[in-house]
Parts: sequence; C-alpha cells; structure tokens
Amino acid sequence: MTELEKKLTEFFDDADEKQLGLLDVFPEEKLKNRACESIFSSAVRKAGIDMQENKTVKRTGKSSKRIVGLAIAAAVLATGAISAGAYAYTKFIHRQGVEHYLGAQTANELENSGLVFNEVSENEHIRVTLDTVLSDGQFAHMIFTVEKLDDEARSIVDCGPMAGVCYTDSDTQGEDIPMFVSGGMSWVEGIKNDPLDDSFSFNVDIHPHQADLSRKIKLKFHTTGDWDEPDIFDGIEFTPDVSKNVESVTMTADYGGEVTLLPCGLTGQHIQLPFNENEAGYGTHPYKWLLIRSDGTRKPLSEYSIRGSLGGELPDLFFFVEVKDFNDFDEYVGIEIDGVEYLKQ
Amino acid sequence: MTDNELLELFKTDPNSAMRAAVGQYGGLVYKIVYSKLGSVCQREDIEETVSDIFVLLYKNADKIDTSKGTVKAYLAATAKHAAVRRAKQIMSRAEVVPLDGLENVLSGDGEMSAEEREHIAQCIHRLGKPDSDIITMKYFYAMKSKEIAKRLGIKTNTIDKKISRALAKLRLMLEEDTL
Repeated sequence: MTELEKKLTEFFDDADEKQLGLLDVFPEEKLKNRACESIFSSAVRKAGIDMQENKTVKRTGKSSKRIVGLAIAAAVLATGAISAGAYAYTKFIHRQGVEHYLGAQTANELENSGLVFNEVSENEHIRVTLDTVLSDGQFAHMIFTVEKLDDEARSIVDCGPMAGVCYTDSDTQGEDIPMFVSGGMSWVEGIKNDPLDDSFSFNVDIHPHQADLSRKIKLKFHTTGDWDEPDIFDGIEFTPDVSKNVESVTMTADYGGEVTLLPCGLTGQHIQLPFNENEAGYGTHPYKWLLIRSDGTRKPLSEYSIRGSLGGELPDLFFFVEVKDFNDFDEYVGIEIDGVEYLKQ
Repeated sequence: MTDNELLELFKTDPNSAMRAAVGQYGGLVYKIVYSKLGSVCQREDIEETVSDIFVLLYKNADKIDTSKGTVKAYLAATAKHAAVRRAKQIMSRAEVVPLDGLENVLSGDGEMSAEEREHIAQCIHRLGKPDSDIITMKYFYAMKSKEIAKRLGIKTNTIDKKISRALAKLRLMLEEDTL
C-alpha cells in the first residue's frame, strides 16, 4: 500500500458525516430479514425502548383461512438461547426460504395472515427455524431454515438430503410412534459479502397416511437416518402446531381418484400420475397440469415442484406438487392432469 | 420518510423509528462494519456493533443537525468509527468497551487533523464522478475492483485503471495544494 493509500484509509477511518456527505456515495444495501430483526431487537433492548410485541391471535370470518396464533414465545422459551423479543414479529426471519419454495406473493400472504411461525431450536453447531406450517388438518407442508453456528456445521453442506422423523404422541400407547417423513433441501444464498451468513432451507411434507395431524407430533432430523449415530442435528426438535390453518378443496375424477388443492399446491395419493420418482423435482415436466377455470378455460401450472413417495409403486405413490404464488386457487373448479379431469364436487 | 421525520419519530414512537431506521439503513451500516470487521469477527459480533450504532442514532436523535449532514452520512461515519475502534480493540485483545465509550469516537480520534481531513475530502470531491465514487467505494467500503465494476457496470480492468489514474490525480492535487 502506498503512502497515499494509507492516508486515504486513515482519512476514511476518521471522516465525519460532513466529509462523507460531500462525497455522497452510499450504495443501496439490503439486509436479510433475519439480520434485520436481530439488529432491531438488539438495538431496542440496549436503548431501553419498549418492545411492541405482536402476538395477537386473530380470527376473521372474511378470510377463507383460519388464522393461527403464533407459537413464538413458547418456542423461544424452550430453546432458552435467544431473547424473547427477537422473534415477536409477524415477518419471516428467513423470508428467502419461504419465497424460494412458495413465491413472494405467498410469503406476503402468509405474513399478512399470521402464518409466520419463526420457531427456533438450536444446538452448539446449528440453529434451525421452522418458518411456516400450512395444514388443512390432513396434510401439512412445512418450511425450515438451517443456519450454521460454527465450522463443524459445514459438514451439512456435503450431507445431501436429510431424513426427518415424525413421532405421534400417543395417549393410548403412552409412547412415541416413529415414522419416516421425507424432506427436501435446497440452498438459499446468504447476503452478498457475508460468507458467515450462509444458510439453507428445506421443506417437509406430512401426508395423511404418515401421521394423524390431530395428535401432537414431534419432528427431529438426522443427516443419514441412522438414528443411533451422533449427528449434527442432535437436540434439534420441534412440536409444531399442525392443526388446520388453511382451507383445502378435494377434487375427484370419474375413476374415483382424488386430488386436494391447497394454497401451497396439490396433493393426493393412489391416483394415476404419469411420472416416477426419478422425475420428481423442480422444473417444467412434460406432463400437462392444467388448472380448470369455471368458464372451462385452462391455465398451465408454472414454477412447480413435484415430490413423489419414498419407494411407492405407480400408481400407488402419494405426491405433493408445490406451486409458487398459488393465491388464486379459489378461481379454479378443477385440474386436468395428463388428460384426466379432477373436479370440485 | 425524510431525515427530519425519522428523527421526530424517535421522540414520539422510538420503536417504530428504530424499525424504520434499521430497515432503511441497516444494510449500509452492516456493509461498513463488515468491511472492517468481517475478517476478525463472527456474524453475531458484527450485528452487535451494528445495533450499537443504531442505539447511538436514537440517543443522539435530538442533536443531529440535518442541515450539516444527512442521517445516512451520520450513520456511515459513526459505523466506520465504531468499526475501526472495535477492530483496534480486537487486535490489541482489549476488552470491549461499553456502549458509552463509543460516544467518544464520533468526534474522530485519529492522527489526522480536521483541516487535513477536510482538505482530502475536497480533493476527492474535485476528482468528479465516477472517480470520486470509485475511490470512496475502494477505500471507505473496502470494495474489491470486481465488485465496484459490477455495481457501476464497468469492466474490472477499467476500474483498476481508473483507480490508478485517480490516485495519481489525487497525489498531484494534494501536493499542489501543499505547495
């Protein structure tokens, strides 16, 4: 570094607002929601400003959705590591993950409807946040975000798709019943210039044949599914509220197959679907998924992801088609899948 | 929200004002702090420093004269001073000073006199845009040439040439003024 460069560095280290104002270079930078909430919470706490917590449980007859109360306070108390104020807001801490799976419009809708969960569970290596749960009482779709807290957590990067497990808390048998639940995973980039802030999001679907959502469930994770082996997810546990919080519509085909339409996508099982497990995933598939409007016109699904069953044989597999920004699903009377119509009854 | 509206809001509804300030300027302050502390601090420490800066904004809201400088400029200067101070503490393994200790950094505690700083600011300003912007991005925000190039839509090697020429001009200006 030359003498002049040293002088410039010293100048900029010590410049006041008038001098910086003269130079007037302030690039637009946006913080991630999580960092924004964390800094805001820390600042109001240090400044002694009263926190305006928004934990009101609202119910409205106008919306088709039943708005759930936020289980934020309980989750934070359970982990005990984070100040209670930090998560007492109806904005997603990890909006990127929700947008990645469900789209920006749906993320807005969820925030406006109080379907932000922001429940946190962490160990010394990672922090996991349950961002949201959408449930019609039968099927539940959840989005989680994992943040690394130390270098050991870097092993998650290479672990591949993780396994999840669901326990139904059974009053009758007095013990948890373990069940295997699928979990997708995708990386969501951290903010620019901040390599420490990398995180990833994944989602979990629970289908009716896997768990009875009227019972209390626990969710645990493991990178390999070998539950006797130590794992980076050890100690991470959620008991989310999976009671009904969104409406769904069942549509039936002439042959008896049923598809259920939710604000986050389509689900069903034992129906004739022309894809196999190898073809599940993001992208446009060469099969026709056409939403049917009341006037009979069709609208193709766009930006959707198909997840099939684990080891199911056609046509018995269950599936979930995740659709981004699916807020207008009330407009449709049915769906045509590869030439077969499923209609609302 | 204008600067004056924001500063007024701190008096009547500090919670909303703080949310607005962090939302509007949090990214800028984070970038400045990260440019100094990113290699020596964990994310949590950086966020703590950033929140300290917004606490100072709240505490000094009634003293900030917007006719002399914008809130953005105030936060940028405060962020840089606080980050430099925190970096020095870390390097010297000193204990982290309490929040009140940061009040002292606002007047500048470096070796350079106020006159000299004013002079350098004027010289950089006289370079004209985009050279003054490039110098600020490089030496204030510690941005790499590639990053500056991307932001300005200019090739990286062009940025390097512009930096080299701007430094030469600046050296000349400072020498001429000294004479």
